[in-house]
Amino acid sequence: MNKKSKIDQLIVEAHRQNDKKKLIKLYFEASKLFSKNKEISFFLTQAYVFSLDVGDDIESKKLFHMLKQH
Amino acid sequence: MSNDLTLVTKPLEIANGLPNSHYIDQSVYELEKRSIFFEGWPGLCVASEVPKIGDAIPISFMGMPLLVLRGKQGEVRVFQNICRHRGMILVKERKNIEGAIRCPYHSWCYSTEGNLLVTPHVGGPGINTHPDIDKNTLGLIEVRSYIWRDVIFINISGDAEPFETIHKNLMTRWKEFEQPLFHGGEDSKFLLDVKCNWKLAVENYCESYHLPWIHPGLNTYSKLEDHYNINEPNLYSGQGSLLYRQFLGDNGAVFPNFADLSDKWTDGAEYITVYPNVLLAVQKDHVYATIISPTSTTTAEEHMHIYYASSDTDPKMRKDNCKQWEEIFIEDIFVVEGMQTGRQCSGFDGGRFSPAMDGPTHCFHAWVANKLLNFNKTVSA
Repeated sequence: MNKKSKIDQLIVEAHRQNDKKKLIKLYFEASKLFSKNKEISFFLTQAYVFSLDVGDDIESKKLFHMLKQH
Repeated sequence: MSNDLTLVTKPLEIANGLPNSHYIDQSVYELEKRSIFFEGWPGLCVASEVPKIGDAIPISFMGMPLLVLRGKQGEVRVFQNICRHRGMILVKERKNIEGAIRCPYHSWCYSTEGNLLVTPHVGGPGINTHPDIDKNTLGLIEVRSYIWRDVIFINISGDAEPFETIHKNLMTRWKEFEQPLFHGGEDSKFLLDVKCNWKLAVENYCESYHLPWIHPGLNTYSKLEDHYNINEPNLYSGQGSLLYRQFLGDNGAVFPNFADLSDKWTDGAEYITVYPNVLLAVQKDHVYATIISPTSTTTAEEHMHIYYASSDTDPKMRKDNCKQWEEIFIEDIFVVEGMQTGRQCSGFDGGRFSPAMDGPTHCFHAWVANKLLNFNKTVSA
């Protein structure tokens, strides 16, 4: 199983468990596996949304700045 | 039987009560919803239900999903509980919101102040903005609210006169009780489901006429002749007692009194309905608020909350006091449900009032009738 498939599986599992903190981490990790801006932004957005949801201000700020760069 | 509301607004001595249709007809219920509840200032719940920052409770108010929320600055506000995107329900159950309110459908996120924070992928995958989506104009829809005596009153239409203008008279009347109220907590509230139209619960609260028969226990120390009617046409009505006997715990312990009350309240107490649906009481050692929430034409919920003058009161005494009030409210259930069943009799003309005893009930009926008549005039104009 390649890295993308593996992380995909972990994301599905984290969704199933409604583990939002894990989702932030996994989506962020996923963003590193892609090279096109659009793809990176997609995963960073997903991570950003869950960081807002759980109220992780530090992570939100970091992700927001990263999104602005893409 | 006549549905003529002008019979209701006649003087007490010759007036009839509201017609049967006002208790059993779905179309009248819908009319009341728009003319009385959405245009006026009904009570929704109490601010003590959201004690901590981020606390949120979803409430279906006559079918409209609302969200009561304590924001980061500590202020309590009411919003329509829907996303501005597809109208999806945002919060399904009571919770504490640590971060943002995230719509479970497409993850549009809102702050606890109602601001729209992010619209993920709104411009396409990975693009979170679009020139036609102005986040500044798409915050949660706030419902106008006013908190008095911990009760959150709402004006859904947004164009009623200010709460404090409408209720200036009552606020002045009870000015002495404008002091910190401490909700007794979990042991000082209860919820009763009643199978009657909301108005019957209000009407029963307004008058003292029924006390000797329905609350014989209460009547041993608070006799009918010790009560007086409170009638403020177009504003509020209720009853007062000249012989309030305060709650006694084991060994005669009492709750602390509210500070600096005048002599009137040494033995006096008042029980008033803030129209349309909030039953309030002031007594020297504790006060309460009961919100009557209509759930259908023929059902309602009674949400009772008891408050003290101090945050430091005895838990057992609080529990016993609450139990006593719950028993009193339960004693009323067979009456309000019996009157509801009675509204199926086609020969009933709304009933005749006792000119001496039923002033407060008539005052409420006339207020309802006038609201409906004026609303109909406005709609047909």
